[in-house]
Amino acid sequence: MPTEPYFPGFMSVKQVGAFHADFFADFSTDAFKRLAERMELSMDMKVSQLSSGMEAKLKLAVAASRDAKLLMLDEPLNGVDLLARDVILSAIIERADENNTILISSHLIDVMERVLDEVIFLKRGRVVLQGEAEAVRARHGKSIVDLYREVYAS
Amino acid sequence: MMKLLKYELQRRRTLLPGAAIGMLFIEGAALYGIYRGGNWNTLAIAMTMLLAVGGLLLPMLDAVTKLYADYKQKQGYLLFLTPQGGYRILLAKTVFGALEIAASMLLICGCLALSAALLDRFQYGAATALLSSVGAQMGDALTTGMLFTFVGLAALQMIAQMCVALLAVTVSRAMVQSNRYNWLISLAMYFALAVGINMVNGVLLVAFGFVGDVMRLIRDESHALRMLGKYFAISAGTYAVWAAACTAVSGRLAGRSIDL
Repeated sequence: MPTEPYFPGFMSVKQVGAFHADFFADFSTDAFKRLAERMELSMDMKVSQLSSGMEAKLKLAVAASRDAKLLMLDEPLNGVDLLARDVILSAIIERADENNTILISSHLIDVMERVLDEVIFLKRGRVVLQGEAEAVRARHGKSIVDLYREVYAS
Repeated sequence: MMKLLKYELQRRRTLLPGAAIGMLFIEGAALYGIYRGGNWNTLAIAMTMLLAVGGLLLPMLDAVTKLYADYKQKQGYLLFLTPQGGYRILLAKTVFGALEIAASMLLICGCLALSAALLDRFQYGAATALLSSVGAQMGDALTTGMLFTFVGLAALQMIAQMCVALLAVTVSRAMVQSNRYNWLISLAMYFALAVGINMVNGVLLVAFGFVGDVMRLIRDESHALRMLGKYFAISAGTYAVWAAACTAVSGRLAGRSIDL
């Protein structure tokens, strides 16, 4: 799931779902409809009419409607208000199970910390910190947010 | 493939009807000029030329701008993130463009037939007289053959030119994207390949005995139809191979070398 909005403005929410159903065998239209309804996205709305938060929700609804072993979400909460963040995060949490992996790239550590199983810090193309979130917190005696400040401030 | 074509059609849900309506308006102006006659025939001629040129150029411009938008704008992710591959995506764009060109040619021919009918009605059978004169000199079969050959080769050549243009755009995004003059390189490449295809076609026609056949034709016109068929096949084959090669190279570059 790319960071940038990438759905053409002329498509409706329904057509976005239909496009993905056409090209991805593991895409579930029913799951998409349920997610869109939960995120309060009307099927008839054009992408050009969606706010940035609504478009972020649509991107996630599309990604989460696929039965994929690996979901890669690049900055899923960018440009999203507080309420929409809660909806997106709860959708991510529900989507995660023992049969898949969700890889999230994000700078909003304070928001993401509570949903993470493992963390990886990348700096200048190198892994500088990696491990299970609980173990990292215990080892360093700090929250992930504090570690983030420490690693990236220097 | 059908799903890709469906998506291409969806993208043009306002352009295609708009273009068709525009062409009908232009034809309407041409018909008005024919109806009025006299100096108004100039309007008819100008509108007919606009219809023919615009109708043939629009599909090519449309194909190129849509592909460029897919490469340049974020909406390109939607297409290139599908598990389709560069070859299939470019082939779908070529097929759709070819269908647009064919539809445009049909519309143009229909408009020309309508203009001819009106010319006969309001200008004392001028169209019929012209066609009869040509038919008397060359024979009805040959006249019809030349008409179909001209229309068919024009369509095939436009399709080949479109494939060349798509390749030029793909090369500019795949290989020289960082060069500030990539648009110029793309344009130069287009003109070089567009001229090249006609040069290759000319060489092949000569190689298959075109000059000798023309000399024989002057002495004996009975083989004209067979000769027409022969050279139509050669040119059609040249354009088809050129179009296929350009599409294949574009597909490979789009699949491997495009950085969205």
